[in-house]
Amino acid sequence: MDEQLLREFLAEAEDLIEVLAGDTQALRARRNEGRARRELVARIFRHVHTIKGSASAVGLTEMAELAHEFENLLEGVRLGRVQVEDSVLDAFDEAASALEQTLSAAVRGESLAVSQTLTERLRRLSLRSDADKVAGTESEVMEALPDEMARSLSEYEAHRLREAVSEGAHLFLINVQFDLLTFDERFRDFSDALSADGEIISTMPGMESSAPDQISFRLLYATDARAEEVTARTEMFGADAPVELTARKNAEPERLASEEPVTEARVADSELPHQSLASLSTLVRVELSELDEMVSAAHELLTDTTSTLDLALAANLGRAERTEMEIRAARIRRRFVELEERLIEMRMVAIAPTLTRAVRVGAASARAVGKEVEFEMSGGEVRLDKSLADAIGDPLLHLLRNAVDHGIEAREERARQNKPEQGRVHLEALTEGSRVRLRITDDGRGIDPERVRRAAIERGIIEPEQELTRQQSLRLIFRPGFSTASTVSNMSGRGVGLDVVERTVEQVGGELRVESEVGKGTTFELLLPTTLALVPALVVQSGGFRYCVDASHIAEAGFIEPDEIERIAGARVMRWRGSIVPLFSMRQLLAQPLDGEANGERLHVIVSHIAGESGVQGDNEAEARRAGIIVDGWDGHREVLVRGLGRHAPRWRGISGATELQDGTVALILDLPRLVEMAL
Amino acid sequence: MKRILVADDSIATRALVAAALSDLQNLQVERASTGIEAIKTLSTSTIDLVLTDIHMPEINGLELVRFIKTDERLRSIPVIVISTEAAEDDRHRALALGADDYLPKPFTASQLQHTIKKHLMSSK
Repeated sequence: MDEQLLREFLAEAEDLIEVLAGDTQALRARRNEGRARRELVARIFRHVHTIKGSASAVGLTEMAELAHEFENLLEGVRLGRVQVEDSVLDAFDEAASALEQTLSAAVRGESLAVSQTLTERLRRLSLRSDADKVAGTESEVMEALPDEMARSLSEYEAHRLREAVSEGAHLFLINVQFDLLTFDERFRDFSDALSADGEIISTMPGMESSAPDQISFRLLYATDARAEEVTARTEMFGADAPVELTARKNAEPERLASEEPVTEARVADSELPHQSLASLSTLVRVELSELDEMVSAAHELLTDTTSTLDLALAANLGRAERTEMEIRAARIRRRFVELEERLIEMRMVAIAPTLTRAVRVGAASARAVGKEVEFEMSGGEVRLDKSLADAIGDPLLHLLRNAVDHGIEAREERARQNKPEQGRVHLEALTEGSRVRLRITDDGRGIDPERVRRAAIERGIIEPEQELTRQQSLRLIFRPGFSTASTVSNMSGRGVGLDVVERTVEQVGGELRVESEVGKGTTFELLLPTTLALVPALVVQSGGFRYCVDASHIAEAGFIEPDEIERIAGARVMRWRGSIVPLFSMRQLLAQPLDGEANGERLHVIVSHIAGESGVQGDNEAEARRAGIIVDGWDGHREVLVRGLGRHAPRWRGISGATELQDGTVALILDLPRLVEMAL
Repeated sequence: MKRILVADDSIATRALVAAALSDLQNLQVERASTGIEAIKTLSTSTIDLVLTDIHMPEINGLELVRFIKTDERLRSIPVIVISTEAAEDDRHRALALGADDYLPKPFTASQLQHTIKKHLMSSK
């Protein structure tokens, strides 16, 4: 037997059995809910069927035999011959756990004899034929169906249909057409929308031969919803008006109160992520939340230890002892930080699937608008926090669609400009210390900052006399309301809902940048933290509170004398590395009272870059603008564990999270570049 | 070069089929894990033969057969249904819907190769 194949089977079977175990439990709890029961049984059936097939293919005959009997019993249940009662559910549980045991034996390279009493019991149960409760409805329902459809239903589909109708569901026939290029995703969305409140009994090809670039489906759909509701739901997908096949019963108000709430009836997503199947038995899966708890626990331990060590160091020690103590303390701290970092790394995933998905959608939309676009992808191996990878999925799709729709010109236009007919979009991920840079570069028409500015004036977003730098003008495309109108695409190219993209990126502590050259193309850049977790920070004091500032935002921290502060047009500035930079005080930025600010003494100043002032290459010193911020003092550098502000995040611009300091007090983590930008 | 499409929601089965066919010359194997994915592949590229399991999520194998055999553009592609010995009803229905053949599971590599060769020849 091919070793690789066996491994693949074992990995897949492991996943399936895990789902199976959960499903049999769920079935026990929901056996009286018609639709949920049917869906669970169908899924258990499918998974057992798959296990059976692959087990026999890789020569695990004992396991295949067990799965076979299990499948037979499930078939009986599926067809309504066998009722889901306790004895059957018990047999399900036992069969599932026997499969699990046989599998773990196989993983160890052993073979385990399957209990004959169990297979015998499964067989006996499957031969039972409980009275078919719903027999009477048969002819009535089938008559309502178009002829050729009634003929083509499988026994299972027919049974499912009868059962649903006998429970009071209405039956609809829905015709829908999708674009050939994107129908798979559209169909999935469509069937998800329908399944939320009913069941798709059968999917058939549409009646009319569809246009060459279209594909049409006909769905037999059973639901408790009324015709109007079904119409409303399907209309959004461009479906024809659904035809109701069941006559509405007069006793409408009798709809049973026992019917489950709509949302609950939906069985959890059945599709297993295929990527995970690379795993084998040495891998264990951990809930993200449990991992988080461990990270927190480790961090608390670090905090406690550090404060204990500080206390010990404060004690009266001899010089030699003191040195020894300091060395040990440093080592313990380092080890804790390492431990914490490794835990945090466990949350990290490769960004490749996120990029691939975005490229797939981009390619589909290129085909849809008839543009020839070549997609390039690099840096798929870059890793970042799972929750971040999930969060940036949609913004990325958005940016890629934008590049295709508005960035890349039509073929003729490209030809006129002596550009290659095929457009190019490059999606690139790079790691930079604790940050990930994601770049989407197209070689399209670019964005003209002057036109953006004019459009913003037209829309009343800025005043005509307002002076803006080139970068500030470009960034207007991120303003809400800049571009809901389609005119934007003719005008400057971009902007559909970019405010949403920016907000989403900011919510996870990232930053969205743009750089563009008219006629050459545009680059959007997402600057993201790799983890939501450990960040080197400077603890600063302001107005009697302590705050943390991400160390990567700080260009320098130092002192200036009061007489070094200059004024230009009334605003305070200071000299920094040969240039003049604006000067603020932290109290001013945080709207704290200014009184009591140190007077006459030298001042603590940190120099930070300014958000929105840097383009894509903005970290290079020459281009990025800086600002000085006076603080009351500082408490040194710390590795802080960042906690997100959750749903509050969008409301508090300039605050990127919170953290617990060594003494147990909570400190806000400031997004200094953003705070400065807002004060400008 | 002939291209065959294997539709099965089991990764292991798809890998098994691919392995069994790997020593056939001039044969390229495309894979799909649901009926919808299969239709997508069929409608966007040229496929010479379809091998499908019956039980799949989204659109199952029988529905897939129905799709292929009612679509003028696809009708001539031979479809082989993989089914278990016991599932007689499924098998009959598949053939009634226009499937060209069935392959009982479990099958050996040579059975699979034989069946596929047979249909690729006759479709010429």
